[in-house]
Amino acid sequence: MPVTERRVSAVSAALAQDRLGVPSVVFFVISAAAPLTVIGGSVTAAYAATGVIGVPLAFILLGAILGLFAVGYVTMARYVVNAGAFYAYTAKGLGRPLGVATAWVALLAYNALQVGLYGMIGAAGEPLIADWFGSSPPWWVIGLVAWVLTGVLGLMRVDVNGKVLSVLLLTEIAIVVLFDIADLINPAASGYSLDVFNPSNLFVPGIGAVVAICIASFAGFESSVVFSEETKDPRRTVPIATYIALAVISGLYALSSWAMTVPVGSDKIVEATREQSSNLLFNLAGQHLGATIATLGAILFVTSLFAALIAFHNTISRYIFALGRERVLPAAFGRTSPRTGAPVNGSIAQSVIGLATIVIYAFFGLDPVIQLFFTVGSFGGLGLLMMLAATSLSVLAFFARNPATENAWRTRIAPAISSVLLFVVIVLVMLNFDTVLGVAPDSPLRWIMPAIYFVAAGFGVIWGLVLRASKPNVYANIGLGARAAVKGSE
Amino acid sequence: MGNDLFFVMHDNATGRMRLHARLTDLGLAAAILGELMLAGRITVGLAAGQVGLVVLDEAPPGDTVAGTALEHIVAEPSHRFRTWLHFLARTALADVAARMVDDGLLRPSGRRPSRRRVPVDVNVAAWPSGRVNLAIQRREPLNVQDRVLLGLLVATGGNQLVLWERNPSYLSGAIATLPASLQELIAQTEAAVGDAVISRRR
Repeated sequence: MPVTERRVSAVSAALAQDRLGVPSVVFFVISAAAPLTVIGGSVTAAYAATGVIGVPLAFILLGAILGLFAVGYVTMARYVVNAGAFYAYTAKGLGRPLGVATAWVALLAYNALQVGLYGMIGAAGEPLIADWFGSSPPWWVIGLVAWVLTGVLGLMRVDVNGKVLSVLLLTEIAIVVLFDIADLINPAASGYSLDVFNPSNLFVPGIGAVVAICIASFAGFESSVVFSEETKDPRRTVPIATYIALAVISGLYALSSWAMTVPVGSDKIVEATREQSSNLLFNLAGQHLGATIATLGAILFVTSLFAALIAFHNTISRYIFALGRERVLPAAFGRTSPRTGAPVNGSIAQSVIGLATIVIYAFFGLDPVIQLFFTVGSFGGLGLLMMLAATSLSVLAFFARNPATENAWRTRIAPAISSVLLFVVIVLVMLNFDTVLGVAPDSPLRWIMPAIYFVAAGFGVIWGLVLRASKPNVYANIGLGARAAVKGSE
Repeated sequence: MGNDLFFVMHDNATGRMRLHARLTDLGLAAAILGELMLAGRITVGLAAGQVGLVVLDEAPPGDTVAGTALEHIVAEPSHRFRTWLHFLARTALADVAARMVDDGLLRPSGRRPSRRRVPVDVNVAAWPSGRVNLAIQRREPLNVQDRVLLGLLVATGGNQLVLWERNPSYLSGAIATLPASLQELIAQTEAAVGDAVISRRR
């Protein structure tokens, strides 16, 4: 800075007042992870659908892998416009056609993660309504109500951020911890066991399916970098917030998924979750803490699912909006509602996808918890893993071509290790996709479903190449998101 | 020109904001920068890969709102264009409204700190959007100020609410004939609006 500007900048001071510190960013990120949804829903579904009891260990290992991934991720984020979107990284690191491929995979994966929640919210609402009114409408009616609310709030650009979310999130975490304590001080006759942390209980057939649903439980942690522009000191705040959020999330999930097995017995947990499904967590709480707290927990479960529905809906709407701004998707998707500032067409598109899913599952009478939430959610988890692996490779490629002042740990070692580990994890998931789908090992579906991602990626690469040939100025904007208007200039 | 944009962004009779608050803030911030550019005080410059502002003439432009902005820019010329938009957006609405009250275009807000700023004369308030709409209808060219006004309206999405006709070729033609610095202003505003949509706050 020239001498004349070394006095305190009035502009910087004014803008700094609006800026976020580490705690706020950590909070936003954790809220993306929806603790009760995961522990009440994903964990019980994981035990039930896969029969694998190493779920707590899976959370710890995945948390560690994501931590390694995050090192390279937050480092490259400083060089990437539109930092919250994985496709911006792959566009910069591996080339724009692969960037478009990543965008298509992202749309598939995030939508899968979102629509899966409609199944769980229906299943979570049924027992509550039945309790209060004697009987309950089928899951898909509840799902449709949630769909309407999500769509309306999405169009109004109501984000579940801010004070309401903070209160909900803190209460959620408090309830989870309370349930954990209650479970831990009431062991089953078989006593305490740390079985579930034993690798021999994780590295069994079916591990891939557990991994897929567990990684889906972390979805949203990548949003920490979105706050770079709004933090006081992005170089410090964003990395620290990311690591803290990952540690808290994985620690809480691991602790809670273990605590759930203590009153039941690790040998009986699979059976118990198969009988009681997502109600298990609240039935246990009812036994040890009384009906009132259990009901409160069940209500917070529904609100947690709802918050997650809205969060994913908004993420996807904004993704579609950014792609529309780049003209990679038709420009109409880049339109906003001037009255609400909402990405309207993106929001509508996502709502259509949600509605179609609910209708199809309702029409064919498919199970909302295992076949919608678990299977489709795991499918989304696989896509997330692919994006993580591609981004990790992009970090390596980018810094290989653009040696920066960042150190080797951040630009070469950590991304290399995480790339390898993520590839291993992806292979595990694909080998176990029959368990994810609940089909026989020789069913063709187990290869068809993952192949969908490869097909989408292939179309993405082709579309990218077509753009390069026919619309070079659009091609040049790939990965820039809203900044495409100014060609990504800073 | 900021006054004109203000009128276009608010209902002529009731004074209620037509747009989301953040979009109004950004649009008016851009309008203030636009006024300075039209007055030849600043222009767009590229320094170290960043788009920023370059001061051409430090003489006060004779208007307090634009003048204060110019003072800030003269004092701290190294900020990015985007930073200027965000900084000015914090107070643009209030500043422009206060200026218009002083000029007798808006009624003072009185005791109630309401969000409405009621125009003194509905016809005066309706004139900017009327003249732009008529020009589009008749396919007549607009002057530089009005073209910038139109560009900022499009960048903030307000065109969907205010313009009678959809005529994308007229709109892009009007903007394309502007000097490069004003086109950059409009592009930066559009990018800032996009960022605001994507951002999780407000």
